[in-house]
Amino acid sequence: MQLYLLLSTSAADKWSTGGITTLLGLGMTFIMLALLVCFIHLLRYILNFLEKTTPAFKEKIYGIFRKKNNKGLESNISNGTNNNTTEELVAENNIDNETMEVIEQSVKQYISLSADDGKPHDRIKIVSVKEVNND
Amino acid sequence: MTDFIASSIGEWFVNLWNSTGFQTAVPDYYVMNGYSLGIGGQIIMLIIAGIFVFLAIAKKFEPNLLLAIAFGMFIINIPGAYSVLYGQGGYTFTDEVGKVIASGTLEDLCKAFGLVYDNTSAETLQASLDRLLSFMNEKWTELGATGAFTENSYVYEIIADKGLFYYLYKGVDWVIFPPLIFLGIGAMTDFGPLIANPKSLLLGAAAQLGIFITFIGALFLGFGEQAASSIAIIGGADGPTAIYLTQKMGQSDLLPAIAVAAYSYMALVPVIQPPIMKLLTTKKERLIKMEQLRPVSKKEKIIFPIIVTGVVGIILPSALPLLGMLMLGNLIKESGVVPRLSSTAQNELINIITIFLGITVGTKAFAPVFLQVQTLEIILLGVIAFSFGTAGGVLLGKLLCKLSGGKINPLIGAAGVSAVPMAARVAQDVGRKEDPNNYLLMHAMGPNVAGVIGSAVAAGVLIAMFA
Repeated sequence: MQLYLLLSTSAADKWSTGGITTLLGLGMTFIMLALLVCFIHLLRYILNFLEKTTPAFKEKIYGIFRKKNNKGLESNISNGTNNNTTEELVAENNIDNETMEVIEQSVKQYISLSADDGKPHDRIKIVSVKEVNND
Repeated sequence: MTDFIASSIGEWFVNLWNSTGFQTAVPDYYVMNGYSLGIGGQIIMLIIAGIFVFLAIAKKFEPNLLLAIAFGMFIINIPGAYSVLYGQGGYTFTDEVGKVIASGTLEDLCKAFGLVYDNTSAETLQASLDRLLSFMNEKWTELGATGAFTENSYVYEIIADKGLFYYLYKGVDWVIFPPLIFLGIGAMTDFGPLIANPKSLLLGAAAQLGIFITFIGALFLGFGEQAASSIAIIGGADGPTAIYLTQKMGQSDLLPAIAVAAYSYMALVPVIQPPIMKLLTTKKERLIKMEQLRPVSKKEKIIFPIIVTGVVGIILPSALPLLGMLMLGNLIKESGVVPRLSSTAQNELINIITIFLGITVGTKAFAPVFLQVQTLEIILLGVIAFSFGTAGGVLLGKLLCKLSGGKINPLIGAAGVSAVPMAARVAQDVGRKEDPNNYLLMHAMGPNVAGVIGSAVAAGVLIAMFA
């Protein structure tokens, strides 16, 4: 191919060299980008599939761990060694509306930034805030 | 004693005079190779540099790069500056097994071998070189060389007093700067619109039509395949890609003209594109409002650069240095776990490289290299490349519009020439001229960033074919 290109000098040769390069070059560029289009579509389907199947799988795994933890907790209680932190309720809903709104906005912003499901999270409403003392 | 002081001062003044730009304006090599404009050529280049400085500062034409390029042009064309900024050029003679037989300036070599050196005119300089070459031919084996003396046994290069730009240019020569710029671009780019509408990748491919049409044009103007490829890539509207390909093709003499043309046309996108877009579309098509793009999840954004690198790496490895770095930059940004690296890539790193790239490319616009008919040809071919690239994108946009039942506005196809984000803004502006409530910017960003990938892929294809 290279040798052929080097030897090409006449107008007909230039047309054929240019034509071949255009066909191959543009064709290759299209094929490459078309492949990427397919992969991006595929990626979306794979992620959607994983999103649907993962919760069930996670639930299964969590289930196993939950059983183990419950056993551990039961044995701790029976031994009188339950060290869970006790939280004393200090106040509930004694926070003014403005602060409630600020908290609500912050929570919405945090969830929309950290969520990766692409769904809107603007329907969250903070209805209750508890102040606890967990010293 | 007085005579001694007087003669010393006299000698000092003669040396000072000989070192000024009036005496050493242009290295001998260029004079021998037919450059006859002397200081006049450098004055023309200084004026051109002044115009570019004006365009960069007053008109804000791609100022980030054009300002540094223009200053590079200015500094290198100050008479006498070349040998200080790059160094002394000379000849290195090497035999078949790579052993250096002799190396030095023409003057030094002539003196060393007892030959007459005369630099009073281009003819006498050429005669001096001819004498040196015939001497080397005769005494080649006596000087300890292996094999026969051929025209490949010697090369002209910078050999002594290597200056700042000799070393800085290594970043371009070894094609380090363009991929680093791509790293920064990747860290600044949001591929969200492209992932939301993957079909826009095809518009980025169609807009590369200009590259291949220009390739044919360059062949007909007498350029070889490698030079034609380097010129054609201007149609990709991507400065770093143009510089990368030109260096890979070994066409560093064409580099300043190609870089200047590429960056100038990128700045002129708002002037070049709208007439072509209007010519190829109907009012009805320009009025099409596109549906809002779906939100793209963080996971998709993180996996995208890995997929692109993997696919391109397997099928077209020659595009990897550019695309790999682009995707690394994007992964750094989208992963969100390395904010300091992301910030550095999109600010400090890209800014530093841009300064070095701009000024070193500018210094290649030395009058004897730049003031040639081929520079005008390259500038002419550049505008053809841009126009065909725009037309290719718009035409595929029209096809997709038909296939989608009128859901795609063909104007966004013009953004496929890359020139991020200028081309996307132009698509938005042309659309809003027909309907002020038509917002095409986000839709045009898809083909726009696809154009960056498309031009890097096209460059990879040309490298695979001709480098």
